[in-house]
Amino acid sequence: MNKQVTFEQRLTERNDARAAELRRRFAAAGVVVVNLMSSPGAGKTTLLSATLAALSPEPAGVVIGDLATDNDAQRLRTVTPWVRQITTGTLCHLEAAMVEEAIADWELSQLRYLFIENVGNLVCPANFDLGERARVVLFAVTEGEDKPEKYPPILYRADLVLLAKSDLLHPLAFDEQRFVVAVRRVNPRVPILTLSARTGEGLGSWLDWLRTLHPTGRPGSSDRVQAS
Amino acid sequence: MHELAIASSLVETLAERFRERPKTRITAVYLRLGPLAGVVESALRAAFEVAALGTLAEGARLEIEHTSLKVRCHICGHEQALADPAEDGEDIRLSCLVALPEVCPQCSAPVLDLVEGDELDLVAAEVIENEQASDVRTTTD
Repeated sequence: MNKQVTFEQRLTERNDARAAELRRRFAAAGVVVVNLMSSPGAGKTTLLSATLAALSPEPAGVVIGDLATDNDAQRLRTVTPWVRQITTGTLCHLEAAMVEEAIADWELSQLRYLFIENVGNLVCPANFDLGERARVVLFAVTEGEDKPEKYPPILYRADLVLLAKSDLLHPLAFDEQRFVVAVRRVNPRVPILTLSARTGEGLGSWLDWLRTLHPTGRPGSSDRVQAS
Repeated sequence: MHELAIASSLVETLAERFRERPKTRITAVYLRLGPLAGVVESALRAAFEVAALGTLAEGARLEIEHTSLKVRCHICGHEQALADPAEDGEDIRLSCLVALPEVCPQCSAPVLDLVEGDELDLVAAEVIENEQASDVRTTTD
């Protein structure tokens, strides 16, 4: 005889449970974790390199997801000893279990920030919680003004949007206002920061935003940060 | 492509629930998907078919209910359903996602929360429990 069995749970429950456990560990260790997502080539590694250098001497670690190679990890080892590369093979996103394994032997309380550089992809990472404090979605000026509205799910869950490579705004005649409108169509309230890792423009605002994520951080703009 | 990871997770969840009753067969799985779930229905169906092979859910029917976008004002509580421009049966529903309103149409407060639209839920499963085997432990796998 057929029988109906009720579940009423997220399809991603297994990952969500692991992520929740990681989030507890991160909070207990006092480390702020940021999940950084973008298309391939938008400039995640370059931004992190500049960010870690600017945050120094505050200790920050990076976990990087790529399909293959540890090129990004090698680049970042020049700015921090806390680097772990996850090579996913053909998997298009990181999952909480991968992050857990990557940092298994780290003493998390020694870190103040941990950046998770997700696999370059604006679709798949949206569904997988990694235990982060904040989700940051980065777009580059080179991707065009309308890119944000092409990827609604990832944007809808974003706590911050970064517009990177701002040194190319003028050469590319990029219409910043059109970009803001595209973001607002999906996420009317998310803060948007424009910056360039190359020239350093806007980096200060990005660092200020990161500091608001710490409970002990400077007050002021913390009301703009939504819990994820 | 992440649909395969989601389908595998779904099959694991189902298998886990019926671990103590290895003769159970799943005939249908009921899901709820919102336009912001970030999942393409046809890809999920194909992935589920593959992920379920050789498991208790092999051949199970996927019944998918689509929700729409709904926002609620943080201040006055006004709820507003946003028209889903996708035709029934249309696959990539995000291609024509309507813009979320910036302010409440009732009180103009700029604080709208999404109350419906990002569902990615396993609602229920329809199962056949083999009665004669229901209290017999087997060690088939």
